[in-house]
Amino acid sequence: MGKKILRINMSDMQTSYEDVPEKWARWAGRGLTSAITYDEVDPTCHPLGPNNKVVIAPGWVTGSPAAPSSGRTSFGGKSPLTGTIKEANSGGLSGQKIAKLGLAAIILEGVPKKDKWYTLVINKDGVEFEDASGLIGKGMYDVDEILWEQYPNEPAVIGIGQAGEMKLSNAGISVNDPENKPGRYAGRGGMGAVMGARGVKAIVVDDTDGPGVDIADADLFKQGRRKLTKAIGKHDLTKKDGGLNAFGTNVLMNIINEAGGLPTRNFSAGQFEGAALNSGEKVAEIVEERGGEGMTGHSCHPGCIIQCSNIYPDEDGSALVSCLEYETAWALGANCGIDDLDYIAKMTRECNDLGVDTIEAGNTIAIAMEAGVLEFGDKEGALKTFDEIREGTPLGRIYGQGVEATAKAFGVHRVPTVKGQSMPAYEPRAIKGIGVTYATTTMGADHTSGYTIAPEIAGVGGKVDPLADEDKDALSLTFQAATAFIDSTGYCLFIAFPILDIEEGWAGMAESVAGVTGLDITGDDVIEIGKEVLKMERLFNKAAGFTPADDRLPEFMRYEELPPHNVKWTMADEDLDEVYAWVQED
Amino acid sequence: MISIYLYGKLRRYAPDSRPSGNSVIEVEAIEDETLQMLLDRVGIDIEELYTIFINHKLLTSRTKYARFLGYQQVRDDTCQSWDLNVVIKDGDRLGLFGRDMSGLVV
Ligand code: SF4
Repeated sequence: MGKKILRINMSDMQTSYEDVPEKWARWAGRGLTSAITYDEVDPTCHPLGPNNKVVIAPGWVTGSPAAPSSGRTSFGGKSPLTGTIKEANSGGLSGQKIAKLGLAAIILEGVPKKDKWYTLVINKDGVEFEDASGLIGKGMYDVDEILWEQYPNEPAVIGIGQAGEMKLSNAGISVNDPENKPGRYAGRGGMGAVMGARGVKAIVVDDTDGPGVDIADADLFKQGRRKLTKAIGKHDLTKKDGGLNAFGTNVLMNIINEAGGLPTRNFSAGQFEGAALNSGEKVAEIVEERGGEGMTGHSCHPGCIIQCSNIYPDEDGSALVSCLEYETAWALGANCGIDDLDYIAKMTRECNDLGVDTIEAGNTIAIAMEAGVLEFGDKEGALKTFDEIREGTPLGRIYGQGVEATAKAFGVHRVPTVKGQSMPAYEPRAIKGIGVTYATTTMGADHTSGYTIAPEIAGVGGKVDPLADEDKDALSLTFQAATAFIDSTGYCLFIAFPILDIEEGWAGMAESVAGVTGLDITGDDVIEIGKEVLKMERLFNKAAGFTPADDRLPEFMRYEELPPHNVKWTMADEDLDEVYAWVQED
Repeated sequence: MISIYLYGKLRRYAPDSRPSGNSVIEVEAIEDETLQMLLDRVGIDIEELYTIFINHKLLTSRTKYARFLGYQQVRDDTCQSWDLNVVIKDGDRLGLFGRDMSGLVV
């Protein structure tokens, strides 16, 4: 049986199962969410209005037997935070279950006529529209628990917290993890507000007795899977007890700090004196000391072999939050001048409960600190900002709109955003390659869309930085394309480290995709296919009114020197414009 | 004085090896001493190292990230022959990460 597209129209409460049209047949994950958004969403529409959609798509290999670390779900549409096209993807239980129901994508469209909230229950028999009024005003910890009590078979729960109900631009979409906690987020870009605007509080996905995922060429799939698994198992970062497994993504805290690229106190310095206290090493120590439910090496979905996630324990050993990531520990830590992991964990839990993106939330608090509303380092004050959001106070609603709105409200001009989205945990003045990605990606400032983390190189012994500014643009494009491909596979982006290091793993990834889908894809096609995705996204943004003048880093980075390297952003605009100069309408 | 900051399992070479603090070895500089000689002097096994920073700039790393896509490599030579002949001077700061902290992808 071929895969179907499930269309759910909230205006008339109709659903339909459609064959996947030819033009979308080769896409999955991000490629598919972007193709559908490009074809069906008016780029000039208001993101919260009736003409935007939430497109949900598992990757090519998601749900196939034992493809390692491949349970990702992509969420796409037009972003209320950036006004651009958006794809945010998440781990958790949803991807595998949607795929096993035989669905290529779910398209959520329209706006209910009545001011009513719904829970959509999707299983092999179809879709039910349940009244969600009992869930309104509740955070995601409660929502996940209630829905597991209400529905059998430990279903996936895709949901929005209070922030999504209020349609705040920093609202993310939560996916429950194997412990039924809301630690997994399609966080960036406000897709939770787009879901809230459709009147949908939660989507329950039960794949029991679903048709499963067809494999077109089992031998090719197995061959690809073997190569990929081997590369993951061999690489220092992803192997068992490797950097990610032992310390999580937060292995980076001390490294990026040592490199002078850790944005500190609203991007005013590149090093934080308290970095070690917020580091992955420290998390591992706390987990060891407190015991109980705390753990490192946790999986965000069944079948991950890297297991970079963790459960951070409270002082008594009970689970406080999962997962404390590098980005989170940085945004709510160094960037706010806070060096207390217990507070960072509490704030992360608030983010997961209310349904806001941790990066944008941390950057927003840093703006409030810059403005003098709070002091840098005021952890109590920082924690209380989430009460404001939960209660929907005017101040909370400003915070919930993210960095740009907050900076405007308080007259702050050091605003670390591109296209309305704030930067993650790599300072582009010290780590210039990532600056090119921040400036030019179709998503607004985003590290995951082209991970070119090359810090300052020591020019000792007559050797200098081997990469001139002009070369960084080509490199960023290659990485943005590779990422667009990986985001379409359903594999976790962290497989990028082993497969970009070990060429056999790269081929294995492509072969596993070819094996599942029957598409003729080899490692040599990855970049070109990725570029096709980027092209659709870029054209959408162009039609939405974006020009190359939007592909710029914020002005202050051009005139403020960043310690300790005392560097400014020097990349020429023309070089940035080169990155997407190849995109033309057909 | 030369300060050697240690991370991950390498912290055990320092007097205070808790992850929450700085694990630092401080030694007097010796004229014309290379990095190789310095590491031998303080007894750090080069085999354990993954990434070396000098004064917050990347000196070298074992990673070979995305060579086939033209990604910037720290050194043209591979990690089998690290350039450890750099002279370390008074006031320099080294940052050393072991194989268990192989997080940097350059
Ligand atoms: S590596 Fe981490 S984020 Fe990726 S799938 Fe595994 S647990 Fe989830």
